[in-house]
Amino acid sequence: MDSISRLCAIDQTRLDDNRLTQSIINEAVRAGLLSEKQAGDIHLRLICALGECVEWYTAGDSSSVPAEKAQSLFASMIYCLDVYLAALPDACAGVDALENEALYALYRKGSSQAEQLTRAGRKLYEQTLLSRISTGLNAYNDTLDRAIPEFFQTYDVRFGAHETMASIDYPLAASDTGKTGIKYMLWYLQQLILENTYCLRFAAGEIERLIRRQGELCHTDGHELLVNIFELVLLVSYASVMASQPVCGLSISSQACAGLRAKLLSDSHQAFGKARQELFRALEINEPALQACVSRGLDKCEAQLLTAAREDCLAALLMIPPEEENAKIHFSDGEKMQAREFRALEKELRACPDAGHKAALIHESISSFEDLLDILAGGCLYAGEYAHLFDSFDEIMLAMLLKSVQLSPFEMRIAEDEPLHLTENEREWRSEFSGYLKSLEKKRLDGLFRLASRIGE
Amino acid sequence: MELISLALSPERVLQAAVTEIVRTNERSQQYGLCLTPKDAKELALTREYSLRTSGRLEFGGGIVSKLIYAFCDSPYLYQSNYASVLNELTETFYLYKNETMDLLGDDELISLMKEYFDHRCGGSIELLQGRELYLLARNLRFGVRDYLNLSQQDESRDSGTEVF
Repeated sequence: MDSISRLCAIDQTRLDDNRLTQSIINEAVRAGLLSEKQAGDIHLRLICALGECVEWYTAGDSSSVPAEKAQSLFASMIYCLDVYLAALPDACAGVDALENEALYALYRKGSSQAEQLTRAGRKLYEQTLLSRISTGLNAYNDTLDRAIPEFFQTYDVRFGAHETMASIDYPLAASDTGKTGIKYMLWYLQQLILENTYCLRFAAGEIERLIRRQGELCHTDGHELLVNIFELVLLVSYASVMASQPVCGLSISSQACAGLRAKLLSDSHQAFGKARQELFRALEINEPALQACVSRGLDKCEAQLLTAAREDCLAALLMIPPEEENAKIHFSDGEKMQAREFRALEKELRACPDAGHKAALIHESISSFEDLLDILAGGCLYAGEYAHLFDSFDEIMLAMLLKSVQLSPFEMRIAEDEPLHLTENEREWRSEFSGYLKSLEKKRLDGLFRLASRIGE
Repeated sequence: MELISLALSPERVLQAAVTEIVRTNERSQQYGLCLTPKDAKELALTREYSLRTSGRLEFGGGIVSKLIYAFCDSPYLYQSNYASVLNELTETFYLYKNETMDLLGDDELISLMKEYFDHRCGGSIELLQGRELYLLARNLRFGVRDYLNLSQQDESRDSGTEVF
């Protein structure tokens, strides 16, 4: 058969990337490029190659291995053969190689190629770390910090190439393709980079708020959830665009949600079409790979939004809190003290030895939040006295202080862009406040962050 | 691809194994030991059976020949017990390849079997299996560095306590 006929003979769409060797043999038989006897001979030669592989594995010390180990070595050998064949120009070249070359030699070549893929995977992992989302989601961080490095440490490209020994808990939006070994890891990292790239267009604090809200709806700590951050963010951002809300805000009001529902029920097709274009434009999604990743995600989002609109549970799907929880709090400060009175108060506080007395004095004397901040930064309190004072504040006051120090919600430390002009005393009370918050119950702390986010400028 | 479905013709494999076993007579006959083709076939079948029951796969059939060459000069082998002992040694070999968790190479295990058979077990397969090799496997499973030192376990033998 001439080369043109051979090129057309094998239907490439019928080849299974995850079982390439077997599917090439099957398709070659189907296309008449191989007879059944030739296919059988290849299988027998594979057994002989397995014998050489076993000899390599045992370093020539043993002529026999447990059957399970032989099966595993065989699977690894086939995996490496798949890697080798996938790198050839087409399936016909694969058939030629299987027929005419020593299969053990092909396995060794495939093993070397798998080693190169592993090196590429390590580099891809480093890129993934650079695109990492700042989040407290345990599954995400555990996967990046422990599971993936463990995979690269334990991956045996010679005798366990087909294995994926890693506890990768963080789920991706893309569905599992049935890949294993290094091919799976490469796919996982590539997808994760795309998802991270999309999510990095949004503020970490807003993403964290979504995760916490999801946790509340599930009556658990949001950081313990096995959720995909990209799916959460994509859903809310897409809905925001359709509801004519700021796309990066990741927040939709109840009224906007009602309007969105009406839009979806009247003409969802048009709504989705326009919204997709707007989303890509607003977030400058121009790279083809990212567009494909987002488009796949949007297909799922559209189905979810349409179903939720019909079932009248759009607010739950988009995690919109009840109206009263969302209402802005407007703050207007009280009257500031005169300078002379303020200095007298500072003197009295510094001389006072009792923490409880100090707290009571502050409550009695100060009616302005600005004065409170000045007292905290005035060096009037020492060590454990801060906690005593903070204990005496109500939730609103604590939320006000939280807003004023700009704490990173999941790292519980002062933001890295803290003003350089802060005095020693200002740093001290902020540090004491951060330590105090860390001692609070998680539920109460989440409530404070929510309250702080409602306080208007 | 199931390995079982890709097996070579059983008859051809058996015939090749029998031929190789009979060839060992060239060396063993100087010790007055000889295997008939019937003995060789039985030995080859014992090897197949042992591999199957021990859950192992073997590439190349040289183990029986290795056992023959290692044991043919044993003072405890006679023409009358030659075939039966070789059958038992073959079963013992594959059993203890598993029991020692493949930590010993073929040659090392055969060498130890010969050492124990001749110098510690008085030619008794029961003692070889149930005492010396049992203790050796136990040392290996427990990660004893000096795994060849079976004497620490000998207290139970001297006191008459059963080891197994």
